[in-house]
Amino acid sequence: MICKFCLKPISIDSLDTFLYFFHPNLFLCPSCFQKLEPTFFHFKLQGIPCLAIYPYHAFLREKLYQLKVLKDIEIAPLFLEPYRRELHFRYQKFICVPMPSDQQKEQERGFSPVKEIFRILNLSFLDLLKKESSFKQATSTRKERYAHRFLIVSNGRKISPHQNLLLVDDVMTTGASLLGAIEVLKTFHPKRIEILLLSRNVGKRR
Amino acid sequence: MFCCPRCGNSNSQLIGYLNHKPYCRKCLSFPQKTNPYVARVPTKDNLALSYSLTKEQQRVADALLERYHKHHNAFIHAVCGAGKTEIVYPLIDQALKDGKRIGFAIPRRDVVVELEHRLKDVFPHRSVASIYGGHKKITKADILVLTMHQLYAYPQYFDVLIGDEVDAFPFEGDDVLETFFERAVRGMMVMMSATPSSRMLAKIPSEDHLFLFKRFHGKAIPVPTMMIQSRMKQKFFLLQKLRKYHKENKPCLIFVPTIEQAETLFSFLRFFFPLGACVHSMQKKREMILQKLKDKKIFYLVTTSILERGITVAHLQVMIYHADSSFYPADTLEQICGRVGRKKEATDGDIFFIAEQKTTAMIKTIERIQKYNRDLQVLLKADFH
Repeated sequence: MICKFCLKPISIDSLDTFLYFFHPNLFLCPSCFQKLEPTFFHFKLQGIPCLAIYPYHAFLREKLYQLKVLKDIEIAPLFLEPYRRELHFRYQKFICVPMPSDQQKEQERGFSPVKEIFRILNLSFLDLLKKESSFKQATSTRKERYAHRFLIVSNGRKISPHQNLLLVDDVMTTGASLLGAIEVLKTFHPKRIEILLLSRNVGKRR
Repeated sequence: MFCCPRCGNSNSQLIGYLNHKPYCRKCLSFPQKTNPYVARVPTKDNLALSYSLTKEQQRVADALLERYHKHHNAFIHAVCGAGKTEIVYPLIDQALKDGKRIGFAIPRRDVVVELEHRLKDVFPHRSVASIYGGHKKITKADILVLTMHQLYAYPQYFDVLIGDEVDAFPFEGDDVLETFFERAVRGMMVMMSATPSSRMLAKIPSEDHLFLFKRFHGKAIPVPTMMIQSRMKQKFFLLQKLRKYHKENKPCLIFVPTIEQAETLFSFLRFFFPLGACVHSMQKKREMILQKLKDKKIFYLVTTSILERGITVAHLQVMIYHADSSFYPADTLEQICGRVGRKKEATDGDIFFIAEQKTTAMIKTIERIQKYNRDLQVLLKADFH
């Protein structure tokens, strides 16, 4: 068996470890699994409960680069694979609303990374949001991000009232785009909104 | 079944599917961009050597040229400081005359930069370009010097591809890089090494081997001295020797197994000798620091094994701190010993293995160097008669 992250064969004695006893379908070697360092960070964003699973460290950044830029779609389900049952039961009454990304970019890539990461939770997806024009977040300041949060608008779809919506995203840094998305989602009058994040970038403040 | 056209991978565990189309995950980190082959115009008066090759070097160089005309590959096994690079100059000269494309591939970035300057001196009328990570604007020149990682962009490009230090870290044992190396060649392949691994020797047919066990100045390789001491004494010994080298105005390299140890040792030594620096792979201004050492602005460097190859400084002295560490196999130790006495004006120098205990690697290294020196004596006697 080969580790899907580092492409090195997983040694037989590590298959007997505690980790593999509980997660027999895990495709990662123990060292790659330990490098992920989950923290399960709970916090609130404008009164809305959020859960971020990993901190945004160098290893995760490298792997997200591999997924998004090098288009290595095979590693997408591995981020949430160890906790998929727990997360499924926690959010089983919710409908997933993925954070929109630039449409042109998505067409170039051929897949949506956010959807691919959260697909393993086995929840139904609903595209309620879209991004109006491209705006590169990574190189802009906190102020610019907050100014551009209104670029996220409704897709024009309607949902039946009293639904539970789960907003999912890969990385949160300032939370500007999440706030923009929440403002749009509130117009649907759902019963409850929650946010699930793959990682939260705490250290870097612009 | 899918087989990757670039790296030849057909292992189903290393193949992914994007929208039902297979892709190779092994060579994914290398960009897809490639440079097509463009023919060169034959040129004359390429080589401008200010010195002549020694008798031994000329013998191997002639053998190389003969193999070039017969379109055979070659593997040069020469001791450290034998002048491997000089041996291939006649071959490059001949290939330039025939209008061929020449590549020089090396695993280490620092060596690429140094070799570019050397080749520019020797081939003043030809264009020489170096390509490595973060420096690949010029992609066309008469002679390309590149790191092994950049060979992905040149499939079937080089008529003569010379691989130097093929036993060095990222290249040795990396299937993808080895495949890129093999696929970049369309004519002759020359590999050079001072300490080839047994795996590599088994792969190369025996008739391709060319040996050179004599340094170009004909003097013996300095034999290392083992210093088995306690940790406390080791530091005193270092200080004592550094004081001596500082008085004699000789540059000194102190090799340390890990980056952390390098930094702690340097912060200790800096207290006594401020004219020094610390070099490791995480540092970005390596070239500048090395230049300072050559200009004698600083006299010692604390370094990890990244400087084990391709560095030539006159009057260099070497100390290996924690030589009993598992980070130092016999090949690495031998390469480090090969740094000493590479210039004609300074053929001797000190090498100290500073350790708490003897290891097999240390003993093996000393035995190997002694064997080379014994062989050299036999050669010299044969020359004399």
